[in-house]
Amino acid sequence: MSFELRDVDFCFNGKKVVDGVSLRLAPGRFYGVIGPNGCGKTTVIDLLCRFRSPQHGQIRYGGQPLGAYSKRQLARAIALVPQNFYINFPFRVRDVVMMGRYPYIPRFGRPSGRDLDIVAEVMESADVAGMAERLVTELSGGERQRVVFARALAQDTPMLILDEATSNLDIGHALRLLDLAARRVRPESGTVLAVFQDINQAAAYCSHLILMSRGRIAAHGDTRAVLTPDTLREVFDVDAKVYHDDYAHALHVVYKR
Amino acid sequence: MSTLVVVLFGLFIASTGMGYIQIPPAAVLKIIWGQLSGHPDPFAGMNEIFPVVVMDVRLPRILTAALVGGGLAMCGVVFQGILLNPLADPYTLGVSAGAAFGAALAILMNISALGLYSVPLFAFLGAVATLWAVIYLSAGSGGLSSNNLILSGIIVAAILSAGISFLKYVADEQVAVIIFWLMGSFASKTWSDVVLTAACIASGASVFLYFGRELNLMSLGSQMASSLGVDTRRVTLILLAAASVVAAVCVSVAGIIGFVGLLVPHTMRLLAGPDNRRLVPLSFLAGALLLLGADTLTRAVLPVEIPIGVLTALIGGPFFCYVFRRQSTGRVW
Repeated sequence: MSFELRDVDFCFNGKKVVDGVSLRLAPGRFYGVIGPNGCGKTTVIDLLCRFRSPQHGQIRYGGQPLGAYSKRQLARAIALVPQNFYINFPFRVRDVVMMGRYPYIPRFGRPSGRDLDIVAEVMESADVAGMAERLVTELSGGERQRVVFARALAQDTPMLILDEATSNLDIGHALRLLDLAARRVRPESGTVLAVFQDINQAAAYCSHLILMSRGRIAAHGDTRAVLTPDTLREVFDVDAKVYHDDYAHALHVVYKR
Repeated sequence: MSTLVVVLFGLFIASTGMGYIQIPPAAVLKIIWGQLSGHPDPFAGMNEIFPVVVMDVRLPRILTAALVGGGLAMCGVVFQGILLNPLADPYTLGVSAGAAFGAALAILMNISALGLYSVPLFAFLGAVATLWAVIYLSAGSGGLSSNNLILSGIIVAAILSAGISFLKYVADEQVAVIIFWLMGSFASKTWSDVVLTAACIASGASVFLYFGRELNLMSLGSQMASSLGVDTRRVTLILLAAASVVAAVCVSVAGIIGFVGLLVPHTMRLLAGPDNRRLVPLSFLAGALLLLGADTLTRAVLPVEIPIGVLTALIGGPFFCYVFRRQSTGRVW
């Protein structure tokens, strides 16, 4: 199932924050979205998740308009790790991760053995199993982000969207979670779309990059083709050198002060 | 939960026996059993005034008190969950004041076109209009923040209480009715009050329980809920409307009774966790217990009958201060 955006516009308070975006997101790829602050990255994600609707243009998923799906169907298709979130109520970590299974559990039903297995597995892999009984209100920002990451993995969807999901994490946990996300990329059935601030992290994980600037797509395509000093200067207004690093087995960017 | 049911039942029987005329608990049980089963034989050998006191005076009052307490507490849970705000309750959001204004208007203008239901209906309209105004005022960029909501609630409630004062001023001989009613009381409740309250609260409670899981998700934020498959707009509207109905009927039956909707959900959340599927029934029971206890206190224990709204505000006000302080500093005190 692939996403297709055609000529999508979105205005907020009279200002065009997404301007004529056309994209195709195919399964089997890890997409990275990079761009300066306020360039419309998060708004594009809001549009993909149907939190907002475009004023112009069309978004299709699996050939159907996004609006044709029920909320529950969408919840089984797309999982999101948001940029920031606040939890005011003292839920236990285990309960928050289990909420990722709600789209599959009948309204008054109990979690099945499979639900429990999935929750245990993702908690283990996201390294939150040790705090299963703690209250989310008592966790640090990074710990909470890992919990929400685990919840999104528990949703077990073909599309996983990360909105700067590793921004509060130490490098060890950041790499661990990005590895987990990368494992969700499967031909035919697994797409990951992630917004990054750190271009080197994006370069290390993404097969494709989407560079955004002022609501428009400045460049998109294969990471090797798109990540060049020219595009970086155009989008971020910086002088940069891009080279292949043998140790990381990936493109690497360094900047001139 | 079963402990709460047992305690509530115990208080229920004890409270029915207490008052100006003391009735032993065994006699209370016999009378209720006699009424339920339709056999008047157990009344034999009993003071013949007992059944009248129990059935016509005390039971309606006691049932209404318990229902209203439970209803207000449930509303508190729902408002807090939807508005992501532990300080929200029908009283702090101004919904109670709105309902009171509507009801005072109905009393003043002697509107009885709908008979028994005209005061509750006006109370409901007042409650919904107020809730809408409060949400409209506080919905700036980035959703409904705690401070904005409480602030708007206070502003709207202040305007409404000025409105109520004006109504009292022009009310002439009905002023006593309005004032007494506003202070909140369960005195002279009838079986029709009980039936009306029970019907509204039961339907409210079933809506709350049906959407319990959605309410859990929404208490993590509407975007999170939306990405987990909740139609947040629809569910918010349904829950707010249902909570307003319950709050309005509570106010129209018993006047403004503050802080039950704040105090009870908080305590229960502390004891039993934030899962709304458990929190709603638990808060109902605890709220019923609290208000029945308070009503019994003013009716049968204290030498003078204090208006119940005054009593709960005296207990609840300091508690509200405590919660607010804890929230704004993050410390216990």
